[in-house]
Amino acid sequence: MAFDPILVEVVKNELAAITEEMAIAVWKTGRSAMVKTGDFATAICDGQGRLIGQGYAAPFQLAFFIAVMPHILKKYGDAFAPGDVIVVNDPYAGVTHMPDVMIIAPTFWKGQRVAFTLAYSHHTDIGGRFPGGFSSQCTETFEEGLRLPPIKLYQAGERNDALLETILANVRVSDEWLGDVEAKIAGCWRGEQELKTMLEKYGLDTFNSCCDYLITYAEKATRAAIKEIPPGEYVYEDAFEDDGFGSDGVALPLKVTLRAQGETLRVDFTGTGPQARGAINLPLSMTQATVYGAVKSIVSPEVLTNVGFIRPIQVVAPVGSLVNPRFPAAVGGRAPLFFRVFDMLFRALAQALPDRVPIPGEGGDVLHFTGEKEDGTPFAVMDIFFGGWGGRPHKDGIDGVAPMAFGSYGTIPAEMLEREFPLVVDGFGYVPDTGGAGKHRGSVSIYKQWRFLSPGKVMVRTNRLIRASGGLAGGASGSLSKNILNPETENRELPRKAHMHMDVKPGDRIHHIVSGSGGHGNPLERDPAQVLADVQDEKLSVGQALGQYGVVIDAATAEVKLPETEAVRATRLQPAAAAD
Amino acid sequence: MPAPASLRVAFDIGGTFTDVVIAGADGQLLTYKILTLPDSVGADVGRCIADTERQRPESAITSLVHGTTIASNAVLEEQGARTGLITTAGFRDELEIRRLGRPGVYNVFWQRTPPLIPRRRRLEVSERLTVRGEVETPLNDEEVRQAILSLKRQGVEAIAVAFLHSYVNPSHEQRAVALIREVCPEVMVCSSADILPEVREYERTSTTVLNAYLMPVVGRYLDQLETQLRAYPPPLQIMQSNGGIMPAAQARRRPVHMIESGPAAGALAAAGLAREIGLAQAVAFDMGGTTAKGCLIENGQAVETAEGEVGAGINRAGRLSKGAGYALRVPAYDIVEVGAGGGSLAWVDAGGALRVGPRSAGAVPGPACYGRGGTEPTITDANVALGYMNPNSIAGGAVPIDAAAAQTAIETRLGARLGLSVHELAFGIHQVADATMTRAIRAVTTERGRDPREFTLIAFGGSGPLHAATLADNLGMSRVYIPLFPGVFSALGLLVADLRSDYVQSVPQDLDGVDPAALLQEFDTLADRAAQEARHERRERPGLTYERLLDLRYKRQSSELTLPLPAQVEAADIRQVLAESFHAAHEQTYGYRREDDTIAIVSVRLKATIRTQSLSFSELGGSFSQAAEKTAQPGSRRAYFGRQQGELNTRILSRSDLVEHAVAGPLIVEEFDATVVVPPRWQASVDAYGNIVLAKNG
Repeated sequence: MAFDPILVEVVKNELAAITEEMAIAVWKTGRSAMVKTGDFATAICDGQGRLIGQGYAAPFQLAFFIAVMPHILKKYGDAFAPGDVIVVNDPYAGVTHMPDVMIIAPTFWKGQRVAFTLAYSHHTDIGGRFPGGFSSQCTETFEEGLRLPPIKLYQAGERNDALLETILANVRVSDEWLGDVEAKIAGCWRGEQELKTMLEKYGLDTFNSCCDYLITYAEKATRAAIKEIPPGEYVYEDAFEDDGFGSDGVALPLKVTLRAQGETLRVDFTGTGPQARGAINLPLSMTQATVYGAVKSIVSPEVLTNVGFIRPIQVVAPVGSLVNPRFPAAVGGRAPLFFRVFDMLFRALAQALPDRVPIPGEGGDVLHFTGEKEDGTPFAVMDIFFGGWGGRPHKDGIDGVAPMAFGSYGTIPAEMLEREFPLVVDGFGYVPDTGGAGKHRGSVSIYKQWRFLSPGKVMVRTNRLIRASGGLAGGASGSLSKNILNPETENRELPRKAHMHMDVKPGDRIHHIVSGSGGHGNPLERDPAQVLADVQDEKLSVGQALGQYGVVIDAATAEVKLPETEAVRATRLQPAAAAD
Repeated sequence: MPAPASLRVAFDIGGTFTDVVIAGADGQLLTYKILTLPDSVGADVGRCIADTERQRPESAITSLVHGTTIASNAVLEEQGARTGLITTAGFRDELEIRRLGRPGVYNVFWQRTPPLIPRRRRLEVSERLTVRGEVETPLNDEEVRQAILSLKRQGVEAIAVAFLHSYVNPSHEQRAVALIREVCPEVMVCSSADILPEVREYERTSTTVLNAYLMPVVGRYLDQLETQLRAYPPPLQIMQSNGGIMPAAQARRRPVHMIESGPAAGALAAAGLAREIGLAQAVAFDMGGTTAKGCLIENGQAVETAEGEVGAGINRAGRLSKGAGYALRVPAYDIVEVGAGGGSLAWVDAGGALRVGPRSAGAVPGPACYGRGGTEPTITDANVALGYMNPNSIAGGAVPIDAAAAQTAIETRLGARLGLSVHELAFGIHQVADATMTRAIRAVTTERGRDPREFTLIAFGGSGPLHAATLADNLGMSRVYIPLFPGVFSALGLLVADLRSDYVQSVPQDLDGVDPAALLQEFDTLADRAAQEARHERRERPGLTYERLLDLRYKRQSSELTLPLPAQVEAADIRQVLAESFHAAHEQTYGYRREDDTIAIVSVRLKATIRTQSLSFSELGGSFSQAAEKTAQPGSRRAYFGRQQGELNTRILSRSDLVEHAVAGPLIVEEFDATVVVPPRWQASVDAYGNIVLAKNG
């Protein structure tokens, strides 16, 4: 078949529509808080298991399906039947931690396996020592919950009830667990129906050659985009401050070297420290996912999300390191390190493409709260939320939005949280004087204060408790994250641990502050009118307008004193850091 | 002296043109298309009415119905009032943060639309209710007064009040509203429990803020319009987003209901036509200059949704990525809009694929073939290059067409990159545009568990009839209707609209534990309110009817399905009837049911309707002679239908030429305001209502 740019565009749109429909089925019928907030994705692979379309996936989820399919094919070969449904959550079989449970269903058409439909979502629990299954305080994956290698939950349409009963007996809030799995199966089956309709229209040969073209097209477009990176090596080093058990004197070395050469990009983590004792490690699939997501966001955002995109990108992650641990290292609490590596990749890319790289923003902080309601029924809730984007070349960050590593996540309304869980939200909003100063300011901090109405176990996951989000191009750092217990009474700062566990009693409050994000460019070059607007909106105090930006504002008249501002700015050389 | 014959006036004011349609009691229509000049639009409409009155001396104007983009434009162009917001302590920032979501995933330079109210005018006061509506912290009157004074100093024209859990207990909001009226009587005010007593604080607050933001603007607009039309006694009525009309007085209080006033009229017209000609399932397809819109029609009704966003630009088919605009939760037709209109630009992306839209050439410079300086190829240029549109002029000669310019634009901008002929490229543009629109139609069909092959397409708008047949082919649809007056068809919708008001009340609880009497009482309370408001607006007409609906979900799901409560249901049966219909609806929409699971009620809804005298499409057929006069120069030209068919000699006919017998494609029907393309393997005929009916052979 000759290259037909029109048919390719038509099929591409249809595939996008199908994966979107799959995602809608998952989102609207799923039960857990994590599905509601958007921690899920759907995809289609062709009959060979090559990812050809992804619906509603966050950048960091881009490689999830690519990583899993080889394990599925290796195990089953051609032993698939119509009506099969495979379930898997094994971090050593391509999934990135065990609460993420993936469903994979083969699509058959005229007796032939022609495709796979896939859906994953983050479950509120997966059994194991700690509710939620993503505590960093595990040392082996066996502690982290129930590990499911690729196994058939349905065999030719028959449900394996023994398997299901076993799973449900091992997880907290089993009803919700099953609801989420059913939602994913519904999504996969919806995709299967739509694919068959599409095959009726075009036939298998045309479908397969379109898949080939779409994959080649993505590869070609990515190569063209990589070629725009000035050839060379770009190194960024950082350190991670938490080994899973705490942060006293911990500084785990992190290093990434990007080598752009012609149409290929090599991302090498050599120099990164050995795997940690606690569960903060990134399994290889997560490291790859982080690289692909970060590179795509900057280098080739328009390119299709299929397997062709990753071909020109090589990931080197030393075995036994923080970014490729050996089995059975625990990996459940991989998120904070993932955010850090994503941030590092942006900063390395910024050296190559200074005009195209923003500071990716902060958040992905989580409250996980479990216990029993007054009537004895168990509950588990995850409330995830974010800070905002850092400063960008030519633009401010955005105050309070899902970070660039994440997709279109959304918070659960306070009115729904309060209705479904023994929890009250006392407030949710901006914290002034916390955004990284810059010509283009980073997001201010977002706080959320929870009040607990039942006793229970709490885990708070917090990023950037010790190392701030730095500025770029002369911008200043944002402020740090913080957790405060009962601010109105004992007002005690909680330990600065990425995964902090505690028991709560009724009436306890946790006031959580997500870090501010770094600023971009010299703050002394920021337009005084923008500084004034921030002061009027109480995102910045008059004192910090002077301290961070050298802008003199008359508090009484809400006006910028320009001559004084120019005089102050002339005496400054270095930007000041944001207040903590 | 005989009673004067009635004339019903409908006018649809768009960005460029105002369409005026005046219907006589005999079904005769007079149509006008005039330029929209914002300062005199009422007076210009008045001149059209006067013209009709001169032609029909023995007649009287009996109704004035208006569809408008004033509200959506005010939001899109940030031209609403300076507004303030008063919230529960701790919650003033949610309006800006929204739900922390963002549309798209890889656009790191995305810019969020700024909140309608900046932080300096979002003020917090001490007060707190529990989920059950109990007062945990009483409202602090003094703080409210201070907040009002601060907003007054900042020069606000309107204030919105939105407190947590006010849908259960509105007393704190009511007190705050009373204080605002006392301290600052000149300011307009609305509260969230009044505008949308529904759980989920961001959506409720955002909807209330939109309402406050629009009240002064819409009020002034309606004042001006009523002044310019004061010669005509009937009260002005306004189209809502849900296809119902409301008196101008109600529009002043609840302008948030008229944001999609313009597009709704087209969907309503299509639904009215479908009902009358007996199409149970249809899709309304409206393609204009910059966008195409799709809306599902079932059992003669356009399908509604209460989940929307406004201000985000074009509403892409995908519904998962929220956060671009402002949440709006009022009943509206479920219209999906994509960036594919006649002016949408065709381009080649970095990977060498042909793309169309969403950028548009707009009115200036417009398509290359309009000869107003446009050099980039558009969908219209493709349709000219394919021989579908008249190569000399359109709109009865009013707009000259430069076919050579269309070909040059396609050749120079796309040909070099893709190595295809002008015909192949133009056909490609046509097909890619179809693919984009296919996605919109799929969003309202397959995404709702409906098979488009079972539906009939009703195509209108300036460009709709050009793409209708190929779009139908894509979707496996085998029948297409092109109504009379396709270019002003939306305005006809204003003549078939009923008066309607919508009420909602959240009453979250498990279905198993529902007290049927208490549930029915919730509906009665809403019905009392509807009756009271109808009396207040002096529309005590017979025939105020109610439709009762409930929002249900499996416990802990993130979204609900809205289902009707049967009119005749016995109280004792309510739980069982609702459970059965919910399981079935869930299965139809998502493919599975869970009989053993708990079902939860979230809200009850009431739709109060008063029927009006409606336009009849069969009577409209009486106007056919007028519409179907010979609009085309009979003849033929070469038109291109893809690689397999190639270029074919294609007849050019008028609608009236199809009355006697069906004509097989390839065929082009040229009308004053639209061009209908009938590809090979399709045939065209005209039915008793004057519709062109396209049918797929075999």
